[in-house]
Amino acid sequence: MSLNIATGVANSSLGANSEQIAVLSRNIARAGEANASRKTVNLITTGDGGVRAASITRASNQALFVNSLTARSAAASHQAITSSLNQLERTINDPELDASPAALIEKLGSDLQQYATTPGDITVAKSTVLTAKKLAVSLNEATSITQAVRKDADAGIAEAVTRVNELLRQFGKANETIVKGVQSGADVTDALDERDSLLASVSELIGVRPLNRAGGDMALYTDGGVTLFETTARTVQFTATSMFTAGIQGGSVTIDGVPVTGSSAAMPISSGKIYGLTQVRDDYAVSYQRQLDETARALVDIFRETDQSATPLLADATGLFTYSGAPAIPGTGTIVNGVAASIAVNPAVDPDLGGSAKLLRDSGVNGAAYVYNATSASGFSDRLLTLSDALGANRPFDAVAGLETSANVRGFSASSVAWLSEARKTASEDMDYSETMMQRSGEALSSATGVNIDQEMTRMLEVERSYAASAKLIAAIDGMFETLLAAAG
Amino acid sequence: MAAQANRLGTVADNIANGSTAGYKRASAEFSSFILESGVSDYQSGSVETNIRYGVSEQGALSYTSSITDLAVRGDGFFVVSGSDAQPMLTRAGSFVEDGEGNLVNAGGFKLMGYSLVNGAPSAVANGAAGLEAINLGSVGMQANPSTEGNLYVNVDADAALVAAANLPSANATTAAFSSKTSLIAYDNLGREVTLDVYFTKTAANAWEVAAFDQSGAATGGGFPYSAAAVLADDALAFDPATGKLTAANAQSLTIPVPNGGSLVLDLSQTTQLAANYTVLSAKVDGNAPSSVSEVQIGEDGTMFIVFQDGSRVAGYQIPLATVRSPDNLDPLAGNVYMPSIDSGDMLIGFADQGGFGAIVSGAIEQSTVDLATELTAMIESQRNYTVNSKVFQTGAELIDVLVNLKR
Repeated sequence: MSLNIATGVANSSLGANSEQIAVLSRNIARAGEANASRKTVNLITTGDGGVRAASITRASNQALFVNSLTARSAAASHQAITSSLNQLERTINDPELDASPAALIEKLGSDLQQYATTPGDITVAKSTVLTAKKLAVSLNEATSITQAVRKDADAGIAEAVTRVNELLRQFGKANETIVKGVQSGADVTDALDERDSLLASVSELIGVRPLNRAGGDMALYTDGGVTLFETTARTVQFTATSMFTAGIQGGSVTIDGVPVTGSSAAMPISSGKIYGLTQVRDDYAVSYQRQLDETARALVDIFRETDQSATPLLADATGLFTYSGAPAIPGTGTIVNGVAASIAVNPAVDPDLGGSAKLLRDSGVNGAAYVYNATSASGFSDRLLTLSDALGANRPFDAVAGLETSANVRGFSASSVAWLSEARKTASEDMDYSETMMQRSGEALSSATGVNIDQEMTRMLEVERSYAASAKLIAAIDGMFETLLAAAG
Repeated sequence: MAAQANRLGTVADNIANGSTAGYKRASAEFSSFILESGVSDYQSGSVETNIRYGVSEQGALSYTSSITDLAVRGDGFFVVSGSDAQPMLTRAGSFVEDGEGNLVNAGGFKLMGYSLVNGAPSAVANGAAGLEAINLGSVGMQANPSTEGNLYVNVDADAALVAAANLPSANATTAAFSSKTSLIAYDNLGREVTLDVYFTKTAANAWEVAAFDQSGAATGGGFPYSAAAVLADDALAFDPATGKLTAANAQSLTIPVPNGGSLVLDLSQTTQLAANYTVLSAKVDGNAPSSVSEVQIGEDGTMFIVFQDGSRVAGYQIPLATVRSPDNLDPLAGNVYMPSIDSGDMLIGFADQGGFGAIVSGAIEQSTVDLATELTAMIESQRNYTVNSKVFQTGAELIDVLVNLKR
């Protein structure tokens, strides 16, 4: 080996060492970053015995990465459900509402019993009507909260869809950089990190399955199998609904022309924030709204008035409680959307609106034919006792509300509260579990591919030594040339 | 003494070109020049100088960051041409793109190659016919239509059946499907065509695959597609024992891409197992028209053009040339060599084939000059010169004595 070649080899060693130290400093600088992976320089021996940095690779573990994506999606959907159910729970124990519909139904029952024992006492009559008014208002408020939760969820879906489209666009850019870099042998490790981090963000919104393709390329599919990204990003579409009332359905999210949420979804998604919000909008909140509507419908039904003529000719009509469809009585055992939103105490009974609370005892809101207490006896309590019994009697409820189909209105209302609490508790437990899973899978991924400062420092010492030795070698060769030149001169 | 002066001349040249890429060391070889002489008398001869070039000597490779820096590891020369378009040989491979898109080395010579744009090159083994200057500008903006691809999926064996009238192939408003995926393909002009591919279960172990052009879909996506967007459909029969496509079934779907070629989509590894619909592999060739991002050169001399979108096509093949006796090549200025009568004719072939070396991209072959050897040669020449001058001096003194005798 000649002196020239020896210089060249020592020189190549210096170059390789500087490359290594550069990568080491990149590792150390990004040690605190969640998605940073450890990079290593691959050295190869060149033809003349020198060394050069052939490529930079990063530590990766596809299985752990996919696991962490799945855990992220699951956690995001449970978080969305839990936070929305927490909102819905305000309908049960919000201090501003005084009390839940269930508690007020109980109170109405006991007020009626007390009024039945003292049917002549106008104060008791007024306080009973007041309770009924509070009950109507609490049902109205619960409805508006429920519909607000649906609207928030709908707006959340719209926002998430916009974000997914943006993330997919960025994903496309990172993917293109990687494909190009892999072809030309450039260092693409940072772009790979970026693509992984974008993928993690997408997975929070939609459950996603990555597919590695030749040349570093990646295609994305939803957990239901719909194409999200393949060479180019597919469009995720959603139209937000501006106004929600009971019975109105929200729009569905379509990806690549295939609906992925809602009842018409051919290939539905099953995790991610969008899935969680859809569950709230189309499932939890809708069920709860139906329970409220059924409760309100039962109340209107219970307080109905019947024609008291010797030969009844007139149809039954709404009594204490009225609603948008009054005076017709809603059908038995079939849901009527929007009753809870419009239920109110009949103005004729409401003393605040110039009505008479006594009509509760005597009836006749709809005219003389409906008067039960024909003689206006102050001790008449039959009607009040009937109403009080009716509150405790079993009646049919629509199965779509998701609760028992035969129950008394007090029991039904209490079941509704229990149903909501149970749903919230399950969602909260699911969330805790999936968050723990996410944390664990993140830790597993990080320990497999993350940067370990101790390891980097040790490598740094090695590189430093190697660099010093190569520099020393160059000095020695220089000394030899000096000797030769002295001889020549 | 003149011979030694020649030798010193080669040493000086060598030292001066100690860092010239692709420079081959020159050396002065001497041969004695003897005159006819009898037994009793000596007719003093002289020495003849032959300048030799170690052209076949391999120089060390030094790695650079430029992809178009090329070196040959093993035998062979790059074919270059100067301004007079005469093909010449060189090992100096520090090529850079000039203003016209040609690859030019430090000596100003253009790199020659065979264009692959119209198929495989027809190399002439003993001549430079068919070679053209490699021009990166001429391959800009190239689109390739899609012709082949694969789509391997697992379709859910437990998917619901779809009635014949509602199959995607019937293209009715009521069409239903089991699973759908979409693929990007390219037409003749490189326009992206999104292909919707539907898999629909028609009976136990029987499926239908149908492909549509997404641009012809109904508003909001889906059925019915316009008549022109209905591209291809076929039946798939799966083996109930293995879940794989039956051997008798067609293994691919030929899709006529609108304004493009026939895309043969390989489906051979599609399975029907009791698992969710999963895409196992999806790939379609072709690329959109995009300008050249960079070039890439393989060991066999194939120059790939990498486009902005990451796809690449083979643009040129860089040949290597050699002669029977490389050391007898005629050196010209700029580190190029001309085949001479002594060296034999130029033979052209490709790298990594039939005795030719490999082309290394991102490296330059260093000068074969070793400074220590040259300095040693210089000291030796100096001593020889001194001794010769002593002989000359002694001769002069003898003549002096002879002249003095006459006086």
